[in-house]
Amino acid sequence: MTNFKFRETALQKSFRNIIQRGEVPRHVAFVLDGNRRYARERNLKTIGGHRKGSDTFEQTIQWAMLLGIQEVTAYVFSINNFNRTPEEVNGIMEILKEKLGNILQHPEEFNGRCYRFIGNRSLVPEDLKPVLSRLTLLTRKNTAIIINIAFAYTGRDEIASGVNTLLNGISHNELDVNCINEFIFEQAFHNFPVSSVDLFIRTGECRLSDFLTWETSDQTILCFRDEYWPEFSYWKFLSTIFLFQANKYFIPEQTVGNGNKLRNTTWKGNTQNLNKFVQKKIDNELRMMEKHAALMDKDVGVPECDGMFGCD
Amino acid sequence: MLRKAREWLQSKVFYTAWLVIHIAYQLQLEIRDFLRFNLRYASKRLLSCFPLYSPQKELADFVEEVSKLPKVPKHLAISVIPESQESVLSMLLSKLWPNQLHSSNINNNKKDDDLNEINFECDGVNLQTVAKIVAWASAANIPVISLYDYNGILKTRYKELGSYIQEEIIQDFWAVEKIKGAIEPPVVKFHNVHKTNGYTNGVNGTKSRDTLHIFVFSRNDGKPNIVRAVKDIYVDKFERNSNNPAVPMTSEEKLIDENTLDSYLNRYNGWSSHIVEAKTEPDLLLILGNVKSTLGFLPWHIRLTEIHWLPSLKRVEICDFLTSFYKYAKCQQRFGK
Repeated sequence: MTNFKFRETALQKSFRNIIQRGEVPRHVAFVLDGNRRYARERNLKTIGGHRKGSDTFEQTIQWAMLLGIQEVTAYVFSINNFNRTPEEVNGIMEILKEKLGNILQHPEEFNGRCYRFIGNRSLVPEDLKPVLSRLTLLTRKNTAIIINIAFAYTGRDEIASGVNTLLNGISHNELDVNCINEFIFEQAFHNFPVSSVDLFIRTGECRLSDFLTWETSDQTILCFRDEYWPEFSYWKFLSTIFLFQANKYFIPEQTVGNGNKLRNTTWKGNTQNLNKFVQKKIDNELRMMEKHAALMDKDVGVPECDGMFGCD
Repeated sequence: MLRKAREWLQSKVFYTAWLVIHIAYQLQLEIRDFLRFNLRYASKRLLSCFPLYSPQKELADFVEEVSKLPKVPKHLAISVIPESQESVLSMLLSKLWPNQLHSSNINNNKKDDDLNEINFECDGVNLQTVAKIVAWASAANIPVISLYDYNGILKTRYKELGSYIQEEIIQDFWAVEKIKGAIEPPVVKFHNVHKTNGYTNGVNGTKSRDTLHIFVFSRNDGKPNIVRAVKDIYVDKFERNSNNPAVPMTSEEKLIDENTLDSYLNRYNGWSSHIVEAKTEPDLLLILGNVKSTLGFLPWHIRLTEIHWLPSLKRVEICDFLTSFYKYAKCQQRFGK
């Protein structure tokens, strides 16, 4: 990963400076699609396409940090992807373990990045859980950029988990059923809540494929690109940000107004209960991650987590 | 001091460059849109002088081409964007010269006295154009259509819309009859509207008649319905169970799965189990306008839906529709595999 330190050319830097005069999206979501088709067209093995895709994603994080984007979410592995051949699934797991293990072994090179994982934790392979948990706990307090890795994820599974969490909270009298609204619903999604997406970029196809279907409703600008993910370049990224700014004008004012109205209504009502509920959920999540992180092999030489939610 | 002055100058230069490229981009978009529409219109008028073109032939060609496609959506969703009053270009220009420029109120409600178009408009949505598009979809043998607009204009005006749709379908029926040998035009049936049994246009058809199922959605049918499902599931499963403490719920029963939530949401949408021709999820969503967003369209149902953009209501034509179907026929659903 350290081999891919990105350097802008002077022309790219000028264009970036121009783009930054306008609104830069706060949260960008990526569907990393087209790795296999890229590999097929270049007579590479499928896993070679995935490897190239993961390198491109590494670069994308650097580009996002240059532009001042605060949150990035990537669709790394869907629940439906478990239906692929065992060879391909194992290959993807190996790439992920290698990349995340690399971050854990060189934490000083990735200062500022906060890694989080969204998805169905019960479907994550046992040998991957400690790595994911350790990385989340280690980087929890970083603020330069939030990187959400969607693993064993689908939008419907996320929404259903939100329903279950809320029902649980209501049945234990932690929340009032009559005060539930969209804003409270978003806080109940499993793992950490992901903020609403400003820009959704997908390469290769023009559909959402069950990714962040709740978070991309309303105001998100959708940008479907024809090229495959490994071919996504800095110039294409900058042009996508430009298109975001150009298309933002067309979003009707009502959609923006509704979001704010919901937030204000919630805060007038159920503030204390909601805060307690959300904090309890986050604490439970962190406690579970510590349990998984402790299972990690200490001989690997990665920083340890001392308990009570990570390394401080 | 010099550095600050240089930074200030740089910032102004970059800002001006930013405005210029955005204005140039919007300008080229509007010019291209204008030229495409008007050149097409002009060529059609010219060709109709030498009977090389007629709207009837265009419709017949469309029905024939679609019937040859390997894949056609069975459930089509159409998101209607109301025409806004101010163009983006004038908004951008007003940033540059705020005092001098008056907002160019491009009159999208152009009244053609002969056709009396203004009667078909409500809040920027031309119902007759919407009806025409629905009729094209019906001619393409699409049995289920979901119409969407953020504010629910179509929901409130569904009766008016329904009568326009029926007129357009009857008008276009000759093309379908010729290609497919159908006997009667389909019955138009609205599902999720105020009349709980659904509203059906035209005569109550015999069973042998096809039905065109139409669902009309607004933003309130999306996320708010999911929240409503939480409350209803709580009342149905948890509150009722607490009245019967002798039989406590198991932990499996307490967990709601996707299928349960799906059944609640489809019930709110008015989906009937009698509709077997298509799935509850749209195969294709067509957004009529340059708004690159779903604007709250049914987040639960849109997970695998192809999303295409067509020109706005005032500019969309049947050939744009056909191009979208060609693109849909080529796409491949891998479902994660």
